[in-house]
Amino acid sequence: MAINCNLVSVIGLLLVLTLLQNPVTVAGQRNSGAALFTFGDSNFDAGNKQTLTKTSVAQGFWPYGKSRDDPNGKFSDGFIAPDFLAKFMGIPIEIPPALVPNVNVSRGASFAVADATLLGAPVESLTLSQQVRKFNQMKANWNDDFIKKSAFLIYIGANDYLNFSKNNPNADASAQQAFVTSVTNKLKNDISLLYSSGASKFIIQTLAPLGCLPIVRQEYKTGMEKCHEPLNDLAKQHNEKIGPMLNEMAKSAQGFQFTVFDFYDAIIRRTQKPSSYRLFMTNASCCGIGTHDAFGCGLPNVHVRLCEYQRSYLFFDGRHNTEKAQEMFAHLLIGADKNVIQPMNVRELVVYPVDENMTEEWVPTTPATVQARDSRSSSHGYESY
Amino acid sequence: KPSNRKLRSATTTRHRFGFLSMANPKSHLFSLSFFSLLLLHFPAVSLGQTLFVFGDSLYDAGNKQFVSSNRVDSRFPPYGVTVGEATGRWSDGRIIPDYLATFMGIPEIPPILRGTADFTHGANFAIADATVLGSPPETLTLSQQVMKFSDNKNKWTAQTRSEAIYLFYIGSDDYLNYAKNNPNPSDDQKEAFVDRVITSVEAELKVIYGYGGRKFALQSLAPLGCLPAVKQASGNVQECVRLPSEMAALHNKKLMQLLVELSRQLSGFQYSFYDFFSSIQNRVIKSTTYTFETGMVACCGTGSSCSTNNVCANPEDYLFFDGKHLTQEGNLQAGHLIWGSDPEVIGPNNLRELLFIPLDTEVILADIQEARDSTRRPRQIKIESLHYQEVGISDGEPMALSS
Repeated sequence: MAINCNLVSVIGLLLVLTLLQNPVTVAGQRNSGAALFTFGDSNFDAGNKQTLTKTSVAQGFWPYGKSRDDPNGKFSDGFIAPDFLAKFMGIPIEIPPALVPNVNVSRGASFAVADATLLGAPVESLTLSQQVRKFNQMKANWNDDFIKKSAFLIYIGANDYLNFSKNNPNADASAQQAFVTSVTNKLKNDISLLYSSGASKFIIQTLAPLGCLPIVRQEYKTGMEKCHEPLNDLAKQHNEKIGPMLNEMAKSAQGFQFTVFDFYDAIIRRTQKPSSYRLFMTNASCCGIGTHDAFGCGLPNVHVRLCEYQRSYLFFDGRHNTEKAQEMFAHLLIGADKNVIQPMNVRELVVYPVDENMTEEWVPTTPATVQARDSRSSSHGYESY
Repeated sequence: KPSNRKLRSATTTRHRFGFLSMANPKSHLFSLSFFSLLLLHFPAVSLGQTLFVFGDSLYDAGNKQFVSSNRVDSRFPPYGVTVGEATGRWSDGRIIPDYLATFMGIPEIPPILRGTADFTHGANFAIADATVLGSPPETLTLSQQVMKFSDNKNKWTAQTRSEAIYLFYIGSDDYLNYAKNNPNPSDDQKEAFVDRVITSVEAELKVIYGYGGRKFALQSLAPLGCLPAVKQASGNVQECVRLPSEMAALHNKKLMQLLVELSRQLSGFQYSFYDFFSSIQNRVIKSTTYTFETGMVACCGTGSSCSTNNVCANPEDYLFFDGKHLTQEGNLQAGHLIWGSDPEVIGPNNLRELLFIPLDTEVILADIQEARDSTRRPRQIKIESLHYQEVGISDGEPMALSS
């Protein structure tokens, strides 16, 4: 073969080769061959709770599941965010509850359980570290390479702070700080456990503004306009620690990859400007009773009010989002910009080469850092992978 | 002449690019934002909505008494027991059209034969024992109901008639009678009979269309073999009877095909097709999941007629009130499903969306297979999120998220 190829054709060839390597095409998600594993509390519980308790759980009954006429143990009127995220990742099935026998876990599973916490021993539930242990017990279902390239989505801590707030209504700043430190330390520990089990791609969802959950507004009697700020404060303190903690872990653990989804902000935006998100009601629930219709959805003998058009509500019950909102969050997870999920979105995280350390880190989002990032480049630099 | 803006309500990639080349993206974005604005600013729907109801005893709000020379049970307790008044409805309380009217922000739609009623927001032509075919006594067939509508059509302006919802539930009695008279039909005979029914339904829908109707909401038939009265008559109350349910399922399949076909044939024809068959099946098989203690037995007089002597203490724990009709609670759940659920349950749009689709918009599904799929899997493109088209669409195989 002739040695002198001209530059243009070389570059052209390289470009073509690059395009051919790109597993993420504009037209859609090729099957990246990765699974999605979820951990945490009722937000991601796909039906595990019923296996841990003898009483029938409310989320197994109408009106839960009303959008699909299928009450299935999820805290939603239909699917939850992981189901949509899975679809966007090319996974053709819902992410099933791992604790239920005979489910198809070939594309991932949910280890999340309602009432889960980081600390303590929640009743009829599993702490995050217990969930990790369960994952280890089931590891034979997947091979190590598959685990390494799969996504691990975690949402946990809400119950720790909700309980803390209820039991320590007058906690001062230093008591709060101490509690936040112990919670986040435990989180770091549990993530390390998962990492040693073979996981390498972590998506940590920050806590919602807990004070704005309808059930919290209702219980703390904040009225319709306000949230219960002390709980928002606790959530913020917790969330602030997540990014730096993960940065540190990424520096000291080979191949540790992560991203942080700013769920707090996603909820706040929707409560502040509902109409921009085509939402009508964001401070009260679709299903329940009380000042904010927040209590009792699915409970026997509770005659709840049930909204007629749940798709225009942010919350289906007192603390869980409607299917419509969950779908929005999945869109944010898979493909939003750094002001929403950083240092990269899930699409980028999933195709980032395994065993490689990340080159970008999480940065506290201020106007200055956003500008700096934007000026550096318009591409995230990961498209070539 | 209004421009024909076409919206896709379900797609796979193989159609997506075709759509992009067909429609002017700008006008489609305009119509998208236009009626999503409508959705924002009128959350409690109150735009002078109109509802016309056609069908049989499931929807009858009190017409039967005006044509019957016999005692009409629904005019007497325990019918209406939950709302304290027997209004001629075949239930302990409100029926599906009542809930839909409430969700639409209008008063309950009165029966057309009650001359003194206020028909501003529509009329109810449904009547017990109504059929599609034949000429049963003391009732009005679908065609006769449509004729009544025609006789009365000047009660409403042409504009009102074109914006109104036309709601249908009919065919049960056709198939129950057929099953009774033909205990062992061949597949061809079954198909032939269903075709006759569907052909007749098609003709009546076209008559309504001719009078300006554009928004059609059709409820598929229940698994008729699971009605307590039918099981009782068969001698085995534990099992649903096969033939009536089979006929209903075949009817439902062909009805959906008809709607897809009409949406292609008739300009501006819009529809919602509610999978009532699955709703009832779910509630018969997994009653407690849907808050019912039983879906096998009726609250009142399954085999015999319903009277104050044999009515249950708490109707809301039952799916069926009498041998053939739902309790108020059953009707309420169906109402919620019709109004606001996903395309898997009512497709391609739920009733609330159907109300807001602008009149000159056509919702087209490219072929019947796609239509069938779209009502079974969660839609990947929803009207209000069409601009998400670039993200999240699977390459190739439809995502079967439903089991």
